Amino acid sequence: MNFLNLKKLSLLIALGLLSLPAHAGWLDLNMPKGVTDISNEVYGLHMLILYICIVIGVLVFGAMFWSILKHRKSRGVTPATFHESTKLEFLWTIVPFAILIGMAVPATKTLIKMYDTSDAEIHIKITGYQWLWQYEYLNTDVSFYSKLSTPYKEIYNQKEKNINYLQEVDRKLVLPINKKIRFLLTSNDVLHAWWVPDLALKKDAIPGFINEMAVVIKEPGVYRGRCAELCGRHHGFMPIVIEAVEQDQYDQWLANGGKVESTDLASTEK
Amino acid sequence: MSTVVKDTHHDEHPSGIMRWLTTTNHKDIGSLYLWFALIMFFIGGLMALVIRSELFQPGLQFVDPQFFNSMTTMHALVMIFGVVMPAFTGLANWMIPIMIGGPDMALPRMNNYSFWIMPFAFSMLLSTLFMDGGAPAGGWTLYPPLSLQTGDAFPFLIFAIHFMGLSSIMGAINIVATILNMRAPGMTLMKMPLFVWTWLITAFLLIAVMPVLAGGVTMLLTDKFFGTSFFNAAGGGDPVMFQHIFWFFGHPEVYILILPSFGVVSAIIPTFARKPLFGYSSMVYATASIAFLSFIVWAHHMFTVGMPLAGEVFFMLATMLIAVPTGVKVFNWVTTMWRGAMTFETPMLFAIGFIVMFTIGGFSGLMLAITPADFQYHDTYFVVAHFHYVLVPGSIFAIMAAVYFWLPKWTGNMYPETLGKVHFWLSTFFVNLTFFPMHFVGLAGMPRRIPDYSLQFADYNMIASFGAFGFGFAQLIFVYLIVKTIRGGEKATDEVWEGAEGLEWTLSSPPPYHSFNTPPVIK
Amino acid sequence: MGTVKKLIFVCVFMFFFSFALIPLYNIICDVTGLNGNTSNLKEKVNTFSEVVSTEKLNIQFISHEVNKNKLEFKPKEFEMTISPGKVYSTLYVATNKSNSKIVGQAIPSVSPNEAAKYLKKLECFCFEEQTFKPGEVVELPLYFAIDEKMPKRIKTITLSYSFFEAIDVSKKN
Ligand code: HEM
Ligand SMILES: [Cu+2]
Ligand SMILES: [Cu+2]
Repeated sequence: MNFLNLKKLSLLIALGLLSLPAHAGWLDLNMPKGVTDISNEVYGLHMLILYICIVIGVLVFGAMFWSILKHRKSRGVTPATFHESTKLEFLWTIVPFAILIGMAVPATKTLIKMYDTSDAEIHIKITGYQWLWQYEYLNTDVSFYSKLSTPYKEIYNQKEKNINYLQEVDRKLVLPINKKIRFLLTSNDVLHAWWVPDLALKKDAIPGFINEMAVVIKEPGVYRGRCAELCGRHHGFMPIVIEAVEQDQYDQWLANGGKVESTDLASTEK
Repeated sequence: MSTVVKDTHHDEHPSGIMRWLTTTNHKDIGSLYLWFALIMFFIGGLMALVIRSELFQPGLQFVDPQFFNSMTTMHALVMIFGVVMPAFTGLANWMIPIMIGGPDMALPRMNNYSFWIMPFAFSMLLSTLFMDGGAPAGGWTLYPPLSLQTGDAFPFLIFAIHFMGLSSIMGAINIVATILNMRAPGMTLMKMPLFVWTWLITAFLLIAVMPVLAGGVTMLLTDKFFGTSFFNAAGGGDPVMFQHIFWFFGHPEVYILILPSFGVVSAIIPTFARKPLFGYSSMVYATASIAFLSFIVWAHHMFTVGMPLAGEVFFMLATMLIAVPTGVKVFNWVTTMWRGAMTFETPMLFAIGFIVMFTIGGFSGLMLAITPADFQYHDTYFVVAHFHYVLVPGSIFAIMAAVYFWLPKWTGNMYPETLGKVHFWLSTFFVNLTFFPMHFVGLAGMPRRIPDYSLQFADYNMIASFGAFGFGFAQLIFVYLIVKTIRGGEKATDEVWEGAEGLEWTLSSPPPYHSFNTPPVIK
Repeated sequence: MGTVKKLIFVCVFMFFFSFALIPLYNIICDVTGLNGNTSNLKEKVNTFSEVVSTEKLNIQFISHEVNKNKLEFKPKEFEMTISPGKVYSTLYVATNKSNSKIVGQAIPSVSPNEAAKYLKKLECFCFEEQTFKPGEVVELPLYFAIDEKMPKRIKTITLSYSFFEAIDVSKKN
């Protein structure tokens, strides 16, 4: 088969592929921007490095495909004989190096912000278990377990799967918006990792040790996450669901001992 | 080095099975390694298809989640230790003595042992599939405490890893000894083909890090059975310590899996561009600096364990740094192609495919290096996409390129060119169909190592599963083609390829049983 | 064969090096507080009586109960506001709810990790193994101070104890 035709063919197939999942918009295929200042910064870093990679890729692959098209024996070219250029070598060591340093600066800045857990007003201890999460609102009596609520019949295909299949829990973690919340993370058995993409938070839960992270949620809503560290048989079945609410709703919920689910927010589903 | 195979009575080797069991000939052992890798490739591939079948649709359809975890664990161990590493060792055995103008490997007897340990180690590993409590299911990274929950399989897993390690160390020692002691007069280090160079550096990496893995898994063993607490907080240990040890081995290991492919591609591109390799010495230095840097980046696999800020920044910078010499290599290959007179036989196609898709994997590696972003990527399908891009259209494509490149030399027969091209295009199409969508599901939030997922990930998982089956079936062409070429075909010339340079093309096709009994003259 | 001997030596060396990584890691952790493990060394009291900083910071006490139904293990108070350089004390309370003897040790962890090396313990129940008789309620004292050298940006420290029962090797698996 002719090389060029094949290229066209694969291009067509690639285009077809991209348009396949019509109902999954572009946004669903990218990292979520999230609902915190930091998650937005992380999204920005992700897009920046992606664009840098795309530009480098276009240049390198462009040169390569140009050469593949033009410098082929079938066009009767005679090969050049050059095989060294200190100038070029120097250039393509130094330029990527500079780009990377340029990239490292904003990344480090964001990282420093992520590591700032000071002045938090709410402290919550999260404990990973095989295979559920425990949330303790420190210095209050509120403490509960949160586990998958998807019925077995849905998992074993005996019933139609609902829209929140595998990302629904019996008790949500209720949090106030616009308040700095500090999480202390540990585990009771093996490693787990607590991950909520919309908050750009992911950290390992390690038995015998505590880790911490902090967040200020900007928008009310329901945010869903998952365990991100292999923890055994039901690792895929220990989701995290957060309900971020206004301060007064949160206070009410807490005063109730965390007993009443504030389900009125379900309509603002993310 | 006076005891090297000089004696000619070695030529009357036993026939049948005994020939293969007792052989000390570098070509026989090279072939054994390559066949072993091919068989394991299909075993590991079957496991991958079990994984992709379960992930074809949301819901649990075919396997139990525990067995699913065993499949991901065993798939990785088989592919890394049973396919890529033995295949490269096989290529090294076949080609290094020839490329440096030597008669055989430096330590032929040990060469035989180091191969025959492998089937033994893998029988042990694969036998765990039939044990009480199932095969290991804690991930190939073996993180405790989860890996300590493995049932009866645990000691088998650990000893299998010990034996694989032993085999690779023996192989590596042999390769270093061969390269340093068996070169023909005039074959100075800076005249060696890059394949020899990259393997020399790989062998040093192996010798430095396989013992560390052995130490790490030994500690797991004593933690489980002898009451030590290396990784157990209750006894004053720290589970994260294991991750440090593992990745101190693990990151150099990923370069062990890729450096020899750099050598292969650096041999193929100049041949088919009919133009000398651009920047030979910078290639050597880039390889050496990658190897050096690979020792100081390990914690980029552990950004989420809660290291102090300074640690995160250091490992981010070091990881970004390692992308620079990697980039240099890609630039050099592209410049080698520039203004050449290229033809596109199958080895060249695979080599070009390697450059493009390995670079895509390098890009995602660069993205993963950005610590704050890695918090979002870590342990998702984005990472799965990354390492499959560097390993499948990376290492595996390079191995296939090498096989097509040297198969006429090994067998004396040309392979069927059209079929080779079909194999390339099918593989390339399906490999992208399988792994490219994984970037998207990863970014959208799908963790790795899960047997079931929520609905928003369904479309792309289905595509990936289709791709995986396509890729799997395409590899049957490869097997057919190898068998057919061994059986016969158009006779290959000694030079095989028009633009080929190097000592291997001065020998007959197939080469004599002992490569260079009289050292060749090096220009 | 000189080369082979050298290479084998490197192998053996690296094997032992992997074991040496454990004490190395512990030293690094002690010096930098890498994993949030506090130093298990008793500090001398007079070291901390001289400069008392006017800075204030919060220290929180939490615990992880591995098996709540068997042994309750809780801090007496959740939070204290303290000044670096001064010695304070607090209590943890252990209640053996089972009807057998419990032997074990409390393992500390500090967050943020880098605060670990500035938390000095003068006296701590975590230094030794503890034995709780069936039904017993024990108050366990802790005397500690925060080194004034701790970076000012750290304003809240959490000290957590997990109580682990001593591992009986013969019974394990
Ligand atoms: C440009 C060079 C590369 C960079 C900057 C890079 C960076 C990274 C980073 C940061 C991770 C950790 C991701 C995470 O778990 O969050 C990773 C994972 C991985 N990389 Fe790379 N990488 C590069 C090249 C390679 C190569 C050449 C290979 C092997 C052929 C490789 C194989 C792997 C594997 C196997 C993993 C996953 C290990 C696991 O968790 O199971 N990478 N890489
Ligand atoms: Cu998990
Ligand atoms: Cu790495």
